[in-house]
Amino acid sequence: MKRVLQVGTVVAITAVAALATWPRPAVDIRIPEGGVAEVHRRFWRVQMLPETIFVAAGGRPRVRITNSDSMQHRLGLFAADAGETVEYTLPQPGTYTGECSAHPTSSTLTFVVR
Amino acid sequence: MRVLTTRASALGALVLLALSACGEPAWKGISMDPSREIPAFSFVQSDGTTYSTSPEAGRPTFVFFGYTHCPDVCPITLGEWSKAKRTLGEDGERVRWLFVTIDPERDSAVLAESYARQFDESFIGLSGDAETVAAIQKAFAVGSYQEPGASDDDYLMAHASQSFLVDGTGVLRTMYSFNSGVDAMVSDLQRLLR
Repeated sequence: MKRVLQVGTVVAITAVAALATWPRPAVDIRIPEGGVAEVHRRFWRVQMLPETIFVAAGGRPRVRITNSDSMQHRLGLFAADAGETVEYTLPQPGTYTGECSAHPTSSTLTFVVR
Repeated sequence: MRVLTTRASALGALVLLALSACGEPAWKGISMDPSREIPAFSFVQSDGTTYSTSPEAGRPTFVFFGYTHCPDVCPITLGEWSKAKRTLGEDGERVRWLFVTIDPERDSAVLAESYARQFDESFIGLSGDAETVAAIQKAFAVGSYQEPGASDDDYLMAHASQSFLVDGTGVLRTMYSFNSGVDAMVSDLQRLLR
């Protein structure tokens, strides 16, 4: 019994460490069918795509785009083909602006890495 | 035994941390995963010859989409390219620098070529028919559209402002946002030219 508990402790600590260190994108954008993008936050919070997305510059922040629509979409400097998931890694703080084809109200999208 | 368990747990966590930090060196530009394979496109040049963008081993390619009437983004970007090429020295000659017009209505092949050459003799300006231009824009996932001007032929084009770096196998490796300086470009090019 004691042995099982010890093994269980090791597994639990390793799982927590894996969960804490597993690389996550700083921004998770999903485009469902119909082409209006949403930002998925932690704890299952979903937000309409804003015109400006602020990204914390710690490390090398990544932007993940999951495009479930039937056409290619461009979101600022980034893009994803139909059915594709792409991750972009931003190297440095700055402002990244470009055309947006998946925005509900705006034709441009800006990422501010700070 | 408890000490051993704690140490084993700590070791496991450290291994995970180390694994997450591993991988190939980071690009200085904006990288993407998965990388995008770029198909080859052909353009007819002003002397009637065909220029193909098909990859050449050991020769990375820089690509930018713009137009010759551009008042701001295009001249600044090509100016940065020129600076990057000078910084690279002789290695800069191994890079293909391609300026592709997104305004083929006004930019003939000769105009695109002479415009690109203003910034460096080795820069290649390309213009093509609307279908080819649209296809290469789709491959790089960049858009453009005409903004109404004072007359039919006096208009501005809204267009993507980033530069793209394609390696010698035709894979898009990184891109650089407008006016982000030449250091990242030069560093990534040196990595590809090694």
